[in-house]
Amino acid sequence: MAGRLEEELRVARDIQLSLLPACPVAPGYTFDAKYLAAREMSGDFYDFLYHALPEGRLELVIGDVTGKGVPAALMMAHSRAVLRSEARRAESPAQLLMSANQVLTEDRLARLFLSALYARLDITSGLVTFANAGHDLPLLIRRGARSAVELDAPGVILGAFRRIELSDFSVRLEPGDTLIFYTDGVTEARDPEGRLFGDERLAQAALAGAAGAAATDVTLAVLDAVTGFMRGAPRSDDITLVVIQRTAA
Amino acid sequence: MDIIVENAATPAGDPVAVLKLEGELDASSYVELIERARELTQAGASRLLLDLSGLLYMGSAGLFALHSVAMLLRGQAPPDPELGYGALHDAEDLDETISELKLLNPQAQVDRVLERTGMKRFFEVHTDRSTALAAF
Repeated sequence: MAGRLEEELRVARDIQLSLLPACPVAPGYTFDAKYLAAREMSGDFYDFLYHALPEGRLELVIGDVTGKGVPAALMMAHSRAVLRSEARRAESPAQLLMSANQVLTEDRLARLFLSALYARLDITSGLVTFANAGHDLPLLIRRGARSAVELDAPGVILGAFRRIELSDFSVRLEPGDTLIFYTDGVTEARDPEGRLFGDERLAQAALAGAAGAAATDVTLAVLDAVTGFMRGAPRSDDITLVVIQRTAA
Repeated sequence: MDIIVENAATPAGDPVAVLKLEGELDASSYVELIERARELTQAGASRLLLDLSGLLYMGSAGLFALHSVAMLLRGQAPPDPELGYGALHDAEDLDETISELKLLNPQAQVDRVLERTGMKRFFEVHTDRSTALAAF
């Protein structure tokens, strides 16, 4: 019986992983996304949606369902479908997340919370318009900068309150700029002594990686730093990173 | 995380349970807070003040705990993320400012999380204990 349950959980995990898409390809940009699963099933996800690439726009979402286990994994799959559906009609990221909140609070399945950050990238201009529903703030690293800047974009978490107001924020990516999205599994990773990886180590690792030639350099630098810091300590939460880098001219 | 419970009262004499949280409120500890609040509400508590001055860290699981505590104070069963959907169907949504639960003296990191996640719209945050007690 236990063997069958384990097998079913393994299949469920495979299905969950299959919902994570490959990274897009667009001229003038590199993209990378990395996901490290926790020991137990969890609720991180990311998604990319495309509109008339290569010159059009790209949309991306990163999300984290509060909670653990099969409920969080089901909620993750449900949330992804809701966001995809709402993305077809929403005029802006804030509108999209507010509509998704309405669906998530109205349907009785969604009793867990979802933090999510939704961004639209205009490939031609580099303009990123985004809205944040209680998710970790994205980090911006300008070309050649000595520090990472946290983009302040407050917003209420989804699924908790029926009526919420969210706002759109924007930032323009110039050639050589890097934008980093992540879930709190990165900053809440712990070493064997129980210390948190934290914001500062994340910023330093991202900064080192951003000096490379592609988004992959950033994700690898951060993951190396996190796993080095953890020194084999168990991962209690998923770790997810999504990076956009505008290619230096 | 340690939770120290103390009985206090509003200026009018209505009882308020003060819960002082010490340590880190994250995925490994948030259930403790919900359980302690459940015990207190089952024993009749209807006003809670969370003293966050000793809380060094709060992750997204902490937000879930705050929401669950607010639901308990309103006599609703909070969703249980560990039990699956069967336990999650009947909960009501919270809509407006939550008057039964107030927060006291969050440190910078915790304050930033409350701000970033929009929770300050729903939870009153005070910096002075007597003002917080008087606000119930």
